[in-house]
Amino acid sequence: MSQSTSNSGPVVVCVDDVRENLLVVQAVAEWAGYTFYAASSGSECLSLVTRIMPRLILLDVQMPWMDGYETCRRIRAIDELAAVPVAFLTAKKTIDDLREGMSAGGNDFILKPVDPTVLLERISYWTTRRAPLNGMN
Amino acid sequence: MTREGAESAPALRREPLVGQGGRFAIEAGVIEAGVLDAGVLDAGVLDFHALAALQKAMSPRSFRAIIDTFMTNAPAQIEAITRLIATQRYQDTLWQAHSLKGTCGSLGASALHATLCDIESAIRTERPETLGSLAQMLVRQGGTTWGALCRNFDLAPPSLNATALLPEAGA
Repeated sequence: MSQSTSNSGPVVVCVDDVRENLLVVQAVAEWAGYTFYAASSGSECLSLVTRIMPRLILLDVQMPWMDGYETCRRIRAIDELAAVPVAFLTAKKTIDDLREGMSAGGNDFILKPVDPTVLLERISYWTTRRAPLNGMN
Repeated sequence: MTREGAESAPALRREPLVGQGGRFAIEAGVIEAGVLDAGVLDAGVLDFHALAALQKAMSPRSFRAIIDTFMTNAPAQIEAITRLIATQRYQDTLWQAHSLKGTCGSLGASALHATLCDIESAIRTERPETLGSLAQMLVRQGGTTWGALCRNFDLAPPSLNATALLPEAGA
């Protein structure tokens, strides 16, 4: 787990098992003023988010041991995190992927390769509101 | 399929640069006059739109650190993919290719990204006979990509020792 340094903006967590992907999201989010935490696995994310109460969780889908969908289901099982928006950061974009993300409790899909402009738009959108209880918008 | 070489690269305008170290453009296709030849070559290898967007969205220090990290880690990942293909461990290949593909896409390594997409597709559609030639292409493009990044970011090229691991094309 890594934590950003001096920013005081809304707290964003990104979970990805690929270090370069985390670095890209971290650099973009921190440059825009967000407070950033990184986790390299679903289990690390679960232990982190209960302590820091983020405004947004960005979840890679394809990760070893616990994928992003399962991580999202476990986040949604924690009462305090029920209204925290979860956006999947993934190259998966079929209807089945969307359905699975929705049923897992996700709120958004941000497609890889990451476009920094789109990423910041979505971060800005979700850090200014709570997640709807019925899943994806 | 040809993704490398100057023949297929679009004509580039000679305009002043805005960018990291003055070496690459804020808009795709705008290459410093002094490195125009390299720019024409690199236009088929690197996505300058993606690189420029990334550069605009973060601090110069972070941008450089990300390029450095990619240059350090990607050669070993390419070697791993060629080794996995050579030993016919296709599910592991799929995993490795998927991971590297995302990074290449985000960092504008477009030729590598396209070949990794082809490797994923070959495995998902059960066409392993194409993987040998795709592995060869991946290694070649790794070298071309490091060359392009080194030219544009004043870096020393990393070693890529996957050639010995390559299966015969079509194997």
